[in-house]
Amino acid sequence: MRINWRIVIMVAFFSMFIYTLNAQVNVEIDKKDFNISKNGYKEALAELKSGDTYYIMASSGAYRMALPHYLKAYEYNQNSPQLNYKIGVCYLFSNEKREAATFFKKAYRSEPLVAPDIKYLIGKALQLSDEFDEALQFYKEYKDDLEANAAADKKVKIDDNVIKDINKKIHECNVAKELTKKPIRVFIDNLGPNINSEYPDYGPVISADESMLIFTSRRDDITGKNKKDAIDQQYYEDLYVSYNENKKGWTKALNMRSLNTAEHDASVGLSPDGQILYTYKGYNEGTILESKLKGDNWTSPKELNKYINTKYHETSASISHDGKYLYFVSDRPKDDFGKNSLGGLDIFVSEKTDKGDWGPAQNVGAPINTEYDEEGVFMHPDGITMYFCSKREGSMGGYDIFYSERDENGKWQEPVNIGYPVNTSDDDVFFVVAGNARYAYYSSARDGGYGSQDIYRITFLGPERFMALGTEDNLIASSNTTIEQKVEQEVVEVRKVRLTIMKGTVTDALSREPIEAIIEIVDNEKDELINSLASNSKTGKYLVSLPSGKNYGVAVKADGYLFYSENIEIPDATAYQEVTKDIVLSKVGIGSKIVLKNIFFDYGKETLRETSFPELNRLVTLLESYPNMTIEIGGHTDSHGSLKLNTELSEARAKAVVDYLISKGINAGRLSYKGYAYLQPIATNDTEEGRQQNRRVEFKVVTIK
Amino acid sequence: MKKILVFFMMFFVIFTVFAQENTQKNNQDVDIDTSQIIIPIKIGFDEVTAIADTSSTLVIAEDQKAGVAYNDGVTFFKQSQYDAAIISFSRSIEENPEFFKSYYGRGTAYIKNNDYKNAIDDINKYLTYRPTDGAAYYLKGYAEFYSHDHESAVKSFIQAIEKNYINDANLFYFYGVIEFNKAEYQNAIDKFKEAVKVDPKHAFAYNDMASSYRMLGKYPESIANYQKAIEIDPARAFFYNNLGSAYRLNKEYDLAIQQYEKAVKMDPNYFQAINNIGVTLFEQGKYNEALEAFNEVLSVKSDYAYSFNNIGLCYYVLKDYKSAIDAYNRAIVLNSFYAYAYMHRANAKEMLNDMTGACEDWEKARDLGLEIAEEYLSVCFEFKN
Repeated sequence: MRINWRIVIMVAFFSMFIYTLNAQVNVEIDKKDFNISKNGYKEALAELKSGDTYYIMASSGAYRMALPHYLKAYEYNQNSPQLNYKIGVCYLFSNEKREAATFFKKAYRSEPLVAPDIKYLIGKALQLSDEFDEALQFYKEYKDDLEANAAADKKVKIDDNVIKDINKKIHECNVAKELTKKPIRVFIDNLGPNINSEYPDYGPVISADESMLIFTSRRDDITGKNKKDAIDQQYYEDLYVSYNENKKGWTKALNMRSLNTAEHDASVGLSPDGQILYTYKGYNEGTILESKLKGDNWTSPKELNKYINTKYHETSASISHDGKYLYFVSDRPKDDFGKNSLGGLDIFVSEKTDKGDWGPAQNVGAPINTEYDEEGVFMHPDGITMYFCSKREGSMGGYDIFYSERDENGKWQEPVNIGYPVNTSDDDVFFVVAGNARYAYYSSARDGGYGSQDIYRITFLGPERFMALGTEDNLIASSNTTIEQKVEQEVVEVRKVRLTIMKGTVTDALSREPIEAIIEIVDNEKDELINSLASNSKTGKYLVSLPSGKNYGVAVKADGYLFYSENIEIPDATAYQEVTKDIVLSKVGIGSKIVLKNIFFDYGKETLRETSFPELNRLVTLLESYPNMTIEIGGHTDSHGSLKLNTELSEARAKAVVDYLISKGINAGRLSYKGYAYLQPIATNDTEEGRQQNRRVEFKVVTIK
Repeated sequence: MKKILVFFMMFFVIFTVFAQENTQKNNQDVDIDTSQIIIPIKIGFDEVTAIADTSSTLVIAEDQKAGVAYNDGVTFFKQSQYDAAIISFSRSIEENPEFFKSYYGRGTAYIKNNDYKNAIDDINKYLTYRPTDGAAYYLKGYAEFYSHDHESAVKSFIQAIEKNYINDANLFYFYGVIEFNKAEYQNAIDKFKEAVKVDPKHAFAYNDMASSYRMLGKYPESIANYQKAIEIDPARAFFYNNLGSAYRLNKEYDLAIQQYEKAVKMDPNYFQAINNIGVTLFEQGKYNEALEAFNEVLSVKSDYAYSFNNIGLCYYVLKDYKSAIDAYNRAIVLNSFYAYAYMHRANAKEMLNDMTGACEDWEKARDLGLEIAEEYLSVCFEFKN
């Protein structure tokens, strides 16, 4: 049987106390507790036997199957300590974990020695019910009992891991007490019936602009119909997709048939532009695959290379905004550089090689990774924030969601717990954040859903809004005028995302048909290619994430077309914004021309700045691709100044461009230049914006064979 | 004998008038005592005497007509008939523009009529004749203070002090008030200390010194000085209100409420004190009780915008956002420039997920000068397009 480790991780997070549950198998029902009518006793006994059949299998699915039988038996006798205990255990593995405490407590009150781990489980159940003080009391008593037993009997030795686990639980309760005192302000909204079902729906991944949502569901129309997982007795996982174009609401989720198989198919990551999907399959201890959107078809999922997938568990992955790095989770003991992992599941990173494949994986190390498990890595499109879940110190129970920001030197800062109520005492995993960082998506089994786990959208409202109570006092006795005193609430700093999402479509200038074009993002200052991605061949859509604080050159290229260039200056302080830029490409042909928007000159001079070189080099490449093409470089100015001066300047600048091209090996005979001054404006000269557009360098195709 | 007696009497009268007029004509600086004019100055809700009431001996001027008119002016002034006093002093000046004490008299009458501009003009004229009169500089500073020309007032007060006019607590008091208004609270405290040094019973100076300490966040000192003000003058409700606020700021909420209640007991219409009770309860997290207090304010002053704002905040923290918005709506109707009410309404709309409405209100609050609203507008990126 292929074990789906991701499911194991998701449903059996109680692994640390599984050892204690060994005792539960031996908790037998006492017949005398069921001293009821003959028929009643028979029925109760039958239900108990049915329940036990599943219970002894000790898996989350089996506990779920056992529960209804035990509850039926419970109708006949509500005071059996053993039955209450077993019901408590079953509830702990259900979506109604909060119910467990009542049954455990009842079992304990009836028979304090019902099971050796009863106090621990009461503590756990209370912790999951947010009853932290009481949970602490039971955890401490359990620990005291263990230590007292060991002290009384030298043969009894306590496993260090047991004490460590109890101490961790105690710490979690203390953390939870603090976090619940200061809940963060969020809306947590169910995404509704178009997305969620009565079955488990989880693992949401989104495009940066929230126009596409892909998630995992275990509903009854899956590809491998009627096939259930042996571990949890739920349908196999399938991938589903929904769209939210123009923020009009999510469409009815559709099964991604072309990607789904009869086995488990789960979503783990999506590139910010929604064009690359990472999925998970359970074979080889967990494998991550990649699929690309070509037109409206996803390519067949392809396993990532050996640096990503190993014989160990690889469970989730997230690609950076520039497509250069892949962050993923694995429990491999060493990375490809020989560095030891920190323990359990860790987060690793792989850099894309020049050949376009993923390179050796490196453990991202502390402070991200710890001796505890880290999971569900998500790199935000801002390029500096990593979200992940962890059982580390500082968690309020099980996995909590943390974030860390990378400083200017590339060093990850100490992770911060994202806070309650997003985090709970239960496991909170697989959390993705929209480009704007105001919204995030995750799954939860909270009350009021459609059943089991549902997908929710979190709206981060930020710190408590400023409140000013109006009050007046006669501070100055000689004045009848009262003085307004604002009673202000404390305000904390707001985390801001400094990111621009540029999106739009690339189309043909004449036919308006979408074009699959390559979009290159260049850091003009460093002359460094930041990202290269393709627009969708079917829709022409593209989306790029541009963190603030750079001058970007955007070049859009497609075979047979002149390239299009755009210059985008995004100051460091620029807050999140979405910019729609539809790009029109002109086919290479006589008379076709383009504005070279990333050509920069010194003020009032014809000296080319170095930041112009990436753009000029693109032009060189184009001319090399069309060796028989001759072009004219045209210089243009705004209307400030005399015609004579502007003609001289524009001509000198056009010549400077031509000289650069010649210096790069382009035959001078193919190049001509002309200064047009302000005689061919493309915008008004009455505004600065218009004048800026008019100050330009164009190239025009003169002949082509 | 009888004839001789009549002759001597006539001679005496003529001689006396001549002698007095001669004295005045030649020695105005000596005989004209500005202290003859009693200047009741408004401080807060009361009046105190700025210049001691000394001899009110009238002057028989050498210039008979100017002198008589001046004396009439003084008489009217003492009878609080300031318009008539101004007419008399003006007549005196018409008779003799050099009769400078009438400028002083008229200036004081203008002050009483709150006509500070004319007052300053007259006192300036007077000072051209008597440039060493510290009291006149004080009066000028006083007029400048009330005409909101605090910069000039400070200069006049400094001149007064330089002319050794240092025994007037009010001079230091007003100087302190100016420093307070400039948010120079430590300087204000220094001046108020001078005031109480001259007049240890100057309750207003203690109150204002307490307010200065309060603004510096020195609440224990603030409390002590408000208490001193109350000790000197226990009949002023606003002293108790202020003391309550100092206690509230010092997070001594029960003591605060006790003082506010004393203020309200003294003046049941003291809506600001009732409002402060609500604020204190709010700060204690007693939102329902605060709500009751703010509603009680409205029974005294139904158009108190602050109270509606505060009611809105109570509903907001009680998560009744619709009621909160209703309350903010009323606050805005009463004061369409109430930036905080717009901001609070936006916050409540946000909680109802009415982001379009929230963004509009944050924008309005920002336009009214609330910088923090600009911060909140950063979430409006998707609602602007």
